[in-house]
Amino acid sequence: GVIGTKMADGCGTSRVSNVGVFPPPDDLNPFKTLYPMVNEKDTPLPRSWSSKDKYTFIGLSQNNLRVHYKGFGKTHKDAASVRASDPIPAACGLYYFEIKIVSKGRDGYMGIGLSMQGVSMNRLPGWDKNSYGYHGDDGHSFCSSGTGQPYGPTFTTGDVIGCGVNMVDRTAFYTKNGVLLGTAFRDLPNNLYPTVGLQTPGEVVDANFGTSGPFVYDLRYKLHEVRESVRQTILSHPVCLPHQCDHDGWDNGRWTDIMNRMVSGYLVHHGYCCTAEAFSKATDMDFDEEITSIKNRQRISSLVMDGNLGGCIATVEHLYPSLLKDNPNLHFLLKVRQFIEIVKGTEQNSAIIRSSNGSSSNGSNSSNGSTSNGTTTAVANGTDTCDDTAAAAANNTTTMKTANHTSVIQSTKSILSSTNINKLSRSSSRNNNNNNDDNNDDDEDDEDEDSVDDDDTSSNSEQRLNQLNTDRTTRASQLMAPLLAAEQQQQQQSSVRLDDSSPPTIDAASSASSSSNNPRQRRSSTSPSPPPPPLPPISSTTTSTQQQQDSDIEMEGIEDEEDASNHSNVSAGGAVLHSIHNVPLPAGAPSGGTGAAASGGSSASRTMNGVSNGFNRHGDEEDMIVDDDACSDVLTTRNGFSSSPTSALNSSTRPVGTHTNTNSSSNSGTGTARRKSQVEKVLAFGRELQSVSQHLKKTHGKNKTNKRMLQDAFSLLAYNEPDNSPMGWQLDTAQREPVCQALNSAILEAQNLPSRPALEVCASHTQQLVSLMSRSGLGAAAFTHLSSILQHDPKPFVPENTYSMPEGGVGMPADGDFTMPISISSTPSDGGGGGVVVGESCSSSSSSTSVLSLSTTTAATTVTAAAAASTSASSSGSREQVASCSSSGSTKRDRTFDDESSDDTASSNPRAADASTSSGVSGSCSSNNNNADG
Amino acid sequence: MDGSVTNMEVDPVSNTDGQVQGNSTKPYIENLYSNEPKRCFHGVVELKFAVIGSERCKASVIEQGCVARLLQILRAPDSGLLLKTEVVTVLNSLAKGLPEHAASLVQAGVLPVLWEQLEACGLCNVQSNASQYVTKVTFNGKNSTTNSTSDNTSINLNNTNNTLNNNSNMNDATNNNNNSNGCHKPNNTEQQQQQHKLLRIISNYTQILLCCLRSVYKQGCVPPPPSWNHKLLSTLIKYGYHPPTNQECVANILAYACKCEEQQVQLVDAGAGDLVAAMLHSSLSRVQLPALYCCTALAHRNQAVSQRLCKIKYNGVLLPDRLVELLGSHGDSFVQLAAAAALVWLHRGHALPHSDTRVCHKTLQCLVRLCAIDRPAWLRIEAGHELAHLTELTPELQKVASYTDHLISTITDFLEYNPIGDDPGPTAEHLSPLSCGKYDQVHKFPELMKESGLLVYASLAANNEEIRQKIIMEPCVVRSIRDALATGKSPVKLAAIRCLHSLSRSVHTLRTTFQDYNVWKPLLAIIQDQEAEDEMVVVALSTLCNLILEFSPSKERILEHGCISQLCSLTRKQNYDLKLNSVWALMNIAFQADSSVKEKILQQLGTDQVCSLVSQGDSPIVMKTLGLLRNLLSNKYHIDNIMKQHGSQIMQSVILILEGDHNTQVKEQALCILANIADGDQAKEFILGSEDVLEKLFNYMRMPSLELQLASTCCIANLANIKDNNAVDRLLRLREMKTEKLLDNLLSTQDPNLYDKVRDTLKQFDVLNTNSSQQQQQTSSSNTTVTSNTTTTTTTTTTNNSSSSSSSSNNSNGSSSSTPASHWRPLDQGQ
Repeated sequence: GVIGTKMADGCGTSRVSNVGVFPPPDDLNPFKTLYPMVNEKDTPLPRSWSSKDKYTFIGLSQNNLRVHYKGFGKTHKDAASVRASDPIPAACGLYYFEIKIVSKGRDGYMGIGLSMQGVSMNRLPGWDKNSYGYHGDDGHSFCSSGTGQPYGPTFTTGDVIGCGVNMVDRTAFYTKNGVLLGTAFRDLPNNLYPTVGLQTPGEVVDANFGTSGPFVYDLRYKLHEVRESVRQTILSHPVCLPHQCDHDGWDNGRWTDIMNRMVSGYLVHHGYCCTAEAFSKATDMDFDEEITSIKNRQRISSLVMDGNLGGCIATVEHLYPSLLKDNPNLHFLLKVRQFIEIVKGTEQNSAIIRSSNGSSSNGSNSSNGSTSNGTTTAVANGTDTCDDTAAAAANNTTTMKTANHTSVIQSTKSILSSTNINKLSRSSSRNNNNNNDDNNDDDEDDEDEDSVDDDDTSSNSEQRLNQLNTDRTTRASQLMAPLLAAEQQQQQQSSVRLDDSSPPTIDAASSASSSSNNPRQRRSSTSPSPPPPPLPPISSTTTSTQQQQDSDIEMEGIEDEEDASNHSNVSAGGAVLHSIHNVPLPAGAPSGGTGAAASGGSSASRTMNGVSNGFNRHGDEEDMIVDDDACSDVLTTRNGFSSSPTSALNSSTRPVGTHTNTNSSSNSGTGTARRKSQVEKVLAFGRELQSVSQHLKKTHGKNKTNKRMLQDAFSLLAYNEPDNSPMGWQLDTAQREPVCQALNSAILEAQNLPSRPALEVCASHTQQLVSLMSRSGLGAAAFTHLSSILQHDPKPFVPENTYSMPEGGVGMPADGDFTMPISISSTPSDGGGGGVVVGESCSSSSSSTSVLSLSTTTAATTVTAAAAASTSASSSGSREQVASCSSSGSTKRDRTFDDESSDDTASSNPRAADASTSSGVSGSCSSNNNNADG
Repeated sequence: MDGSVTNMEVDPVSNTDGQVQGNSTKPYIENLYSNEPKRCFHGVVELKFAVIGSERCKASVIEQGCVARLLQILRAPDSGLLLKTEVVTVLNSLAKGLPEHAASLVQAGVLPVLWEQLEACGLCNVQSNASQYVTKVTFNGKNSTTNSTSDNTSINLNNTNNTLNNNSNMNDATNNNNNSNGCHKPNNTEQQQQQHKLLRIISNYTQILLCCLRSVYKQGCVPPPPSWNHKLLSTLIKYGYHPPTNQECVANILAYACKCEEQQVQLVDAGAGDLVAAMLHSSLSRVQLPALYCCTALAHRNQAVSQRLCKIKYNGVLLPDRLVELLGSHGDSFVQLAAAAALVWLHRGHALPHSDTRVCHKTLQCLVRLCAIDRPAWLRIEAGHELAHLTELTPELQKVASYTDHLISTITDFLEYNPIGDDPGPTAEHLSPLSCGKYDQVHKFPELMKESGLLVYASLAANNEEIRQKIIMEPCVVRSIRDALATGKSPVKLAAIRCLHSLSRSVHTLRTTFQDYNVWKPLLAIIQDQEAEDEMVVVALSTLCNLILEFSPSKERILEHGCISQLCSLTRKQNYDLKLNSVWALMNIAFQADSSVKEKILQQLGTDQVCSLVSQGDSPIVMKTLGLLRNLLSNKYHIDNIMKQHGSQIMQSVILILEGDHNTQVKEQALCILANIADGDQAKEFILGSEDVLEKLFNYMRMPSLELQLASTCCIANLANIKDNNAVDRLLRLREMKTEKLLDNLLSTQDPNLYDKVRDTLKQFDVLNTNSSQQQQQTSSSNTTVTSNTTTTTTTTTTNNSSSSSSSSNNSNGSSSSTPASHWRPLDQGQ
């Protein structure tokens, strides 16, 4: 009650980060903070008293949290107990609950404690074997015995008694009104239930299992104590290599070797090839794979991570022709992902275009969907230059990324916040262009100025559009995004290729046209190279100047299209797409004149190049069976609007005047048209997918995962707003990771290389061991977080250099008072190489640096976690296994890395982290693991 | 940076010099006395390098009287700031040597000079353009500039010269600035740069000044400054805000310098509280720690300051809340300890009530945690002391502490501490000013542990019988107390006696354990030891007070060993607590004692001494003396006996009290004595014979105070007791004095006791009217006496309560718990 809140206030200000107030008030799921390592599916936590596991004299009320006595209460034979609904899971680490004595009743014979299932309920806790209790009448503790030991004070009405179980050293303690009474029991067994026993009428107690507000006792000190002891156990546990235990001194060289191999393996696996090279140079180690191969994999991964599955498949087919044939399931996985990306609006299905352009897609970019920073761009550039393949290809990559942004439905906030990034990326994109075309520079500058004028009109139009557009249209436009993006990409490309200087006149129209779509679209068209912003799901209404400006750049490309209009192959579908893009042009918008229309036409034609090809490829599979409701729905809509493509085509080819007319007259039509065409495309792809699936089924038999995957993907179509739907998780960019992982592993496997880096194996080992610990009832599991152990900081004394040296020769007395600043950067001799490497790689890619530090530390932890596990003896077999891929020098080493890269880790790469953790989880199925368990 | 470089390069130079010169360090000392600023400067610099880290060299430099010269340089108006900085650096080095070195520095008068310099710097900083001060900043002018390039024998000199050049340039520039005051110079930025440089020099100088002061104060040999100049204090405190070095220095200076109440108040007035609050928010433990000690020093036994401290906020966080944050388990344990200590003294200063969770949960539990077995010994010792301070006076905290995390059994480990392996002593920086130097010798740790543990027990056992039993059940407790009494050095012995004192409040223990172990023997030995420290005697006395209580089996043995004369002589001591406790002990002895014992007491004490004790202005001693008189004058036979011998003196003492300016309780005691006297047969005449005394009695009956009315009515009742001889005469005399009317007036009282007493007394007068039915009246009179007994007993209880509370406030002045607890009423009256 009152004390509890006070306590909470008191603690609130202090700086205990990872625990907080215990449990935090107003926490919806207090157990998540109380017992983060408990998996409630396997081991549910006690939340209330059990209505079954109780003696008849016990009455329950208030959600089974209040217990009262309803027996005769004459002798001790009338004692009655109740157990909690579930036993205390070992993974709690430190379990705690509180009992408030509402009324002591007649005599206050109350016992609070723990008991195992099966212990008689006609007794107070503590009297029988496997039961433990602290009794209010005499303050004694009863440890499986009828006679108690003097323990603490008595307790009575109004007191709050807490009972804590330390699952690590198997002891129990009590608290009274927030005061720790000290250890009561030792050597407790597993599977104890919180238990309370009453014996005389009128006794009423309330329980707080953590769900009824903060505890009276401030658990943090205890927690800290337990956590520290576990950590100390882990850190002080001797780790040794197999066959080396008989040596006195460790062979540090070999440890280092193993560590280096792990680091290098990780870098190679994930394609951080510059870093890997630098690392291997510094550590005198070779890696097995060829650099080009690494780069190829890296390129492919980044395509997947950008959501460009089409490009990815094409590239894979180009580079590893047999891979997808040999792995039909993988192929199917990629296809399904592609489908999802299409629904999401990322995928542009332009693989064919690219191949027709003569260069394979070149995604040697380590950036990821969710981080957006300048460094990633730099990385992209860096790697691009590494690559010998055409610069045009590089350009292509960047546009691919553009497509990625398009899909991202942003909120205004994120746009504004990413403004700077836009600038950055824009400038880099310019550089990119400059490689190919020096003339562009001037034009862009001009356009920048012009664009300012357009601001008002475009935002107006934007608003209007948003008013007019209904849900459906919005959605349609969202669906359209990839197509448009594709088109713009085309424009961009052509501009680069054609070296044309462009008059700025057309900008207005084109920018207006872009602004008439969702801001994301404009944005996408703008920045040709990749500032992937965070991905909030709802489209925004406001415009930012930055975007406007950006869109200008792109317009230049459109304008170039004028000359590039000799591209033929205009198909109806493509025209539709483009017309849709242009239709919502507001009447009041400054007319961009023929330029826009023409460019629209031409770009449409180019787009169609890709799309129609795609259609051609699978178009004949009209008769696909769609068992999904959503799909059939879509099918009908498609049929309903079969006529519109032509009209749309007409409008697009017309001069601007007519064009605007069309627009103003048929806003609603636009929406449906859009949706329709998008739907058509999606459906086409869906059919293809379906057929692939059936083919797979035929040749390889049923595959539940595949079926499930396909169903999930198709279900997306059932929703108006897939992002917010229950199936929306598929649209999350993080879902690309498993795909990427699978593909990467498959490629490596095809090359007879290990499909997982040792580091990840190691990390997943650790995870497994920790979960093994919790399964076998070792409470230390609760405090064996990989990350928390990695934060091991032995607190080296770092004097602040506050003693500024006085001017000239006035040295400070070195009398033991003044500590000279110690340079921390000194690296241990064996780790010196590593330090250098990091320095080097910093310059080439910051993200990989953080990965590096992450990888090293992960490796180190595996050792420690393994150590923890092995201390607990149940998994001693696994210890050597893990130890073989880790080293004792690890702690020392990774501190070096940490120091070096601590700055970088701040801006570290979530993808990298995600990747390794997810791999830790998902990768646990590797063969090594089985060994560990066995 | 420059400095370190020079350091490196100069050392070999000076070394070779030293080797060439052979035996001494003379050349630079000669330079030191040179009037030529440059040579002097070099002399100082070389001296600095010679002195660093060498205790021998420090000693010789001090012996040679260089300090005086250094001070002279500091004082000279024309010395440059750089030179001065060097000089202070040397002084700082010297101060960091042995404590003797620092002491001799203080003797040489370093402190006033340093303070003076600091103040000057403050002035200089205030006027940030520092125009008139600038001329003093560097060597004055030409010498340095002209000489700068001429005589450079080493790289070091070059270096110095460079900077000298810079400075003189700057000097010129700033001089220019002076000249062109008002008009804007074109080379403004350059000026600003130089201005900046100048400020840096000044701030370096202040920094080293503070360092030096800190070093001197930290040696603990500094007499408290005779008077703190408020302005100086403000300057000092102002410096304490900015760079961490300054913070650390200022906090240390304040923590070490603040020793008495006056200083505490002055410091807080000058803003030390706010400074401390700010420093507590530093993230550096080397700032936090001295700040915490400073906070403790401010709050130490000072209610007003404690209360002010508790209201200070920094960044919206109250100071005590910040302290609680620092108690958190994530910090260093010595910071936790220091924070706990600060909270303890805030609590003792009545600024935080014991019911405050910050005290009874956070502080208490933190200290108990720090007592745990896995902590370093020194930390446990300190934590034990703080725990003892925290719980000393508050029964509630004693109770909570007694069941917190098995504290009582944890402390047993203190008593039988065996250093296992190497228990690291504390770093000097981690120790509070109070305990600095305490842990230098590891072999003393067991003693210190024992002391600390016994003190904790002493505090815990003070008020609660249950806790006492818990403690006494620990087998090692009595054993270690006995050992400590037998062989221990004085602090341990003292702690043992304190513990004994707390435990002696248990009847059960008195009759069992104490009897078994003959605890009284060492106690008596201490009391009879002429050389024992007063403090120890005081505690021993108060323990003895309990041992000689009527039901204590030790009483006879103690009396046999002639403690009465010793006690009586102790009443003549100057020490207040000695006086009080010895009188108290006598009072307890006199309770229901044989007449021989009473005779002995009066004989040894002498009525003069009684008079002088009674004439003391202080109520506790007066109270106890009066209590002693009451106990002496207890049964009828004794009353007459004693009054026969000492009647007039005793009456004189009583009248002195009745006429004097005393509070009700004292007067009440005096009236009770009168009542006792009135109980005697012949003794009654002492009252009835004096109209003056009777008038006084009547006066007190008219007073509004119930206690006084009751006591005086008691006296009248005893006078009017018809059971005694010559009752009728006395009654007539009383009637003559219109006593009945007075009594009638009192019948309107609300108090049932008084009413009964008045009515019974009035009934006595009936004898005068009807001489019949004597039997009846006799029974009623016996009733009267019984009631009178009970009432006086209750009054004594209250008196004792008040006296013990006042003695506990004495305790907080360092004299320790010297008196028996309240319910250890030395029963001092009866029949």
